[in-house]
Amino acid sequence: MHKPNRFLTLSGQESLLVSPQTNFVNIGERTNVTGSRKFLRLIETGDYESAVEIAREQVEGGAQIIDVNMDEGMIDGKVAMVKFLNLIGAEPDIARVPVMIDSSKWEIIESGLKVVQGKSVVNSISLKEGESIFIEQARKVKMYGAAVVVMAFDEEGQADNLERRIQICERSYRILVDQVNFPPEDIIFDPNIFPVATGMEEHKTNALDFFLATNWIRENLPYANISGGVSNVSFSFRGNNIVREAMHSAFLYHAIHHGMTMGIVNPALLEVYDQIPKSLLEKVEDVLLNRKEDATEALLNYAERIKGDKKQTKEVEKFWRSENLQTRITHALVRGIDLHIVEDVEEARAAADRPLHVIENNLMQGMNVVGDLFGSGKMFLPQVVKSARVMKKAVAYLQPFIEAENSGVVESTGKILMATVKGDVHDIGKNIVSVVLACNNFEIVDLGVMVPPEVILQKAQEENVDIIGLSGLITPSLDEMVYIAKEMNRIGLKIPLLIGGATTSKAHTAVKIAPQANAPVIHVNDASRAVTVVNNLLSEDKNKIYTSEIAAEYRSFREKFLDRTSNKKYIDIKTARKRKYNIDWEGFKPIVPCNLGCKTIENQDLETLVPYIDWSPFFRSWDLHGKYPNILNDEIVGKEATSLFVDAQNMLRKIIDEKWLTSKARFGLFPANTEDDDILIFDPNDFQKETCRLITLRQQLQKRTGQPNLALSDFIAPLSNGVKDYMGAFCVTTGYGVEDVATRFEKENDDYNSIMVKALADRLAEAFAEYLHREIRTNYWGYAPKESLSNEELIRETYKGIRPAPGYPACPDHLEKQTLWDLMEVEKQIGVSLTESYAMLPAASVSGYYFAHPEAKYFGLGKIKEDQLLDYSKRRKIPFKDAKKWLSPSLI
Amino acid sequence: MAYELNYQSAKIAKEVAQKISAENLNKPRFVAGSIGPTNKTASMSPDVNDPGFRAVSFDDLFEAYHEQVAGLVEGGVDLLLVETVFDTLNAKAALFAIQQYFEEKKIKLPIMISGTITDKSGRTLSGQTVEAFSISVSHIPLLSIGFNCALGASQLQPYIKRLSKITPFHTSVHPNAGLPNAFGEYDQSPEEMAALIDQFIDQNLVNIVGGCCGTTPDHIRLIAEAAAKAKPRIPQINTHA
Repeated sequence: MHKPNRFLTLSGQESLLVSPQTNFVNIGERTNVTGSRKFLRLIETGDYESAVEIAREQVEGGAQIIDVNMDEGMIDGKVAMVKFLNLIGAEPDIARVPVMIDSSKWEIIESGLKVVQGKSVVNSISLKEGESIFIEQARKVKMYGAAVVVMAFDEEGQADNLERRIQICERSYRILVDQVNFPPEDIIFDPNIFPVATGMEEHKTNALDFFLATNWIRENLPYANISGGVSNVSFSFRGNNIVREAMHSAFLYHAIHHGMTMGIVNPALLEVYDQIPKSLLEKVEDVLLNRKEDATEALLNYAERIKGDKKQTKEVEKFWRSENLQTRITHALVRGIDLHIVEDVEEARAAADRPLHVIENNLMQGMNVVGDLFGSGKMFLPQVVKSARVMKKAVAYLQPFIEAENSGVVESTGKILMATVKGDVHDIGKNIVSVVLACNNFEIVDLGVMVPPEVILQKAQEENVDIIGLSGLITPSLDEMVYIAKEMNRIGLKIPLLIGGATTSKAHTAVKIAPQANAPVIHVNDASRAVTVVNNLLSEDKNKIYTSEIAAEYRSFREKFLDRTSNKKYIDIKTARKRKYNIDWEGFKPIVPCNLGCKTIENQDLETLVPYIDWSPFFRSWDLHGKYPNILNDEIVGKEATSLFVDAQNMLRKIIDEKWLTSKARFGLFPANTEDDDILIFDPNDFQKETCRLITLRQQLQKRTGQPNLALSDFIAPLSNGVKDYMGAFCVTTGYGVEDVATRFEKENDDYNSIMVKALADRLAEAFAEYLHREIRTNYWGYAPKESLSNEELIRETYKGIRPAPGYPACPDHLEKQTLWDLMEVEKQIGVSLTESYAMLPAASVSGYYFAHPEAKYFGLGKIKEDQLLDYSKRRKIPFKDAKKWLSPSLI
Repeated sequence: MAYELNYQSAKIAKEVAQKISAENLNKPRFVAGSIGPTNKTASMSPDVNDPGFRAVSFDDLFEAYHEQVAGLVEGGVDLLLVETVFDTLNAKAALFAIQQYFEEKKIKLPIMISGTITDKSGRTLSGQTVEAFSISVSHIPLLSIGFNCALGASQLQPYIKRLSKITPFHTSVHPNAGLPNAFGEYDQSPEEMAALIDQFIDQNLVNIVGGCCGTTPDHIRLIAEAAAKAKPRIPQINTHA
């Protein structure tokens, strides 16, 4: 009978087959406390949320298996392993891949095996402590249904030459297959990757022995697989990433040729094999393959030289100025250096037949390099935006010459309309996408912010654009987008629609927008994806396949989503109210605010706000993900984050010193009590006189016994209790002046700084809100006069009381802002106005309520049922259909 | 109590099976000891606010299953059927308990396993695809692997097809009598269901057929008639190629 092929199969929520077709299986290594200092720190400090994000980045970055290791003296390895595996088990986009449970302690491995549903890999067992323990552990691994990594290790120690590797692997294999009846395809040998070029004679053949052992295993031990930790090999070159990266890829190249099937690899430390400079590659391979007697010395010398070069970076910076013209232009674009671009472009213009050719040839050649580097993940967004600044400056210089020649405009690859929808004023994301697209040679028709649908549709037709891109940050914008999709369909405008912005989601796009349109609708929330998406849409070859793939993906996503939501159960509003959060008002005496009524702050000194800035969202607005300050040392985006941070600090200094922005605040503290879910606000001078009612919404999701259905009103004493309670409200802005500065930069073709000033103004507004909240707690209201918290604690919101904002999860109802505006005369006093969708103008503003009760906490409303909607429309005194429109994102 | 219930049920079933088998020696009847999923999941959190929480552990499940397996085997079942697997980790605990019991008593009985695809996403409740489920439970030699419950025969067919292609074991299917109507009742008649089972047999997808929720003795009678004329399916030797 024909002998069947037997391949290793593994599973998380999805399956993984390791066969000759799979090529090489890449195991993520960052969720390993022994390998990643960052991961170790997160586990030690109990920040599992960020630790889970590392696993997610690994999987998104292409890891097909993730290695999890908790072997650290200071950590309870068993507890940490179980907790982490349970947490990633709850994340479908991580749990889809198999796990490699990595520990030198059997008890940690076993506790890990008890919490994974899929077929995972145990890393590792070996003959280190003799045959009987080896056999016992292998039997257990088999009973738990896992594959196993076997180290080339026995009673004598680790195999450090070819013969020992072969001998130990063969002995292990025979025991596993013949005595334990272990499936041979489930055995993965790790024949030890050791450092080379250490200077020690006996280390010279370390890589070569690994290759040869790998080859021997593949030929003599049927179906077994080979793995290993690749970064070990370059251990002696720590600190010299150029050599390390080259070494890793050359090592992998040869190891895979010899039969290595999987490996633990850090993709950030991997050069493309083809792109290793010839001279370096030769020296690296001399070492790996032990081809020359003096190979180590030669590579060390070479490495020293590269290091030396690095120290003289300043010299190098000057050096590029003496390169040829095209190299200089490309260099300036890639590095985003605009210092010499005008003189270089002038030189190119003088040499060219027509000024247009400078754009078409010299500049586009440079931008293509930028596009390639960005597309392959080798450049990051802030770098590209800087490139675009250089490009714009160059084009602006050429513009008069082109016009003089009357040769028309540069031919673009496609025309894209960009707009922030009606009622919404947020445009940072939209501007970033516009810039990225523009520097990829797409013509952008940017209609700005608060653009009514008729204008969008009319302009799209007039300008004959190829694609429409819509952006929005606040929830009512979602409905605007649905409406525009409907209208496009009605008037027969069949062009692709791109959806982006912080509140948009693939779910909303697939479920609510796409079914309305008769053309492709694609959610693009990441500027780096925009170029690929637009290229695919406008490519004649790929367009059909791409759009049908997207349509199919959204269809299945929609079905899954609807299936999922229909599983959740909701209770009626009456029952939900009975399940409210009960505060013991008998045992609590509300603190009377020191100052009742409203107050205005003019010209708050921005300097005082700086310590309150939460920088993490700032990096997020630039598509750099990670927590501040760790992000500055991040292995992948750290360098860019640092450079962006330096630019931000410089501008922040100018904003403060040169008084670019003006800040104002209006706030008030009032007597308050509740009636059902309404909060009654009373006149500070007359506790009987009701000034207005705040209308809160209550969670309706069916919950477990003991878990309340929350509404913000639960945190204020009911009128019927007779307890006199209080609450507050506020609006802060740092947005005066932003537009002037941004426009000034835009005129100078400097989008980078235009986006920067808006992003910083947003951060200052949030900081102002944080600062004012502290003033309220310690001073104006004074319910926590002795509070002393660090800024970090402030950002983590460890203080007493909350400041939820209308339009955010606890109260998604934007109409509440109007009530606050009337209550505090916000527009009259400090000039911040509300658009028809209740976005605040200027955009860098924050508003909200203050609740002081120590048990008050943030929560998300979730979805509500129609019965509450009906009840709400009566309380709000608006027609049911209007209520439905405003709350539609919260409806089931 | 769990031991006693399983022991006595197995004993009664075995007595009946032996009696019926004696009436027609060409058609022996076997008793499969059914091992359900329990009402807790070991790889999912019941608390949305605490995704790392688990209401039951592998060790708890192991103990419960070990007791159940002892009751069933000592009561005389011919094989064990781990069924309605909505969380593969629960099933792995059951398989672990079975292996452990077999080792202790130095015996071996055939093991069947049957998963549950919860909805049109084609996954188990714990999120696994058909292929991932099959890979996760194939570490011990099985008599059969298949699906039961949640869906009717026509909805289960594509998943059985996928399973049948990749598994080296025999396959089984125990569908519900269609999908429940608005009142939670099953409307599919024995004739309709038998016609659907016919399709499985015609396409050579399964070795073992039966019925789950909503099926009655009449359903099983017609399904058995359909199966009587079928040729046995020969499992694929090549795994996942």
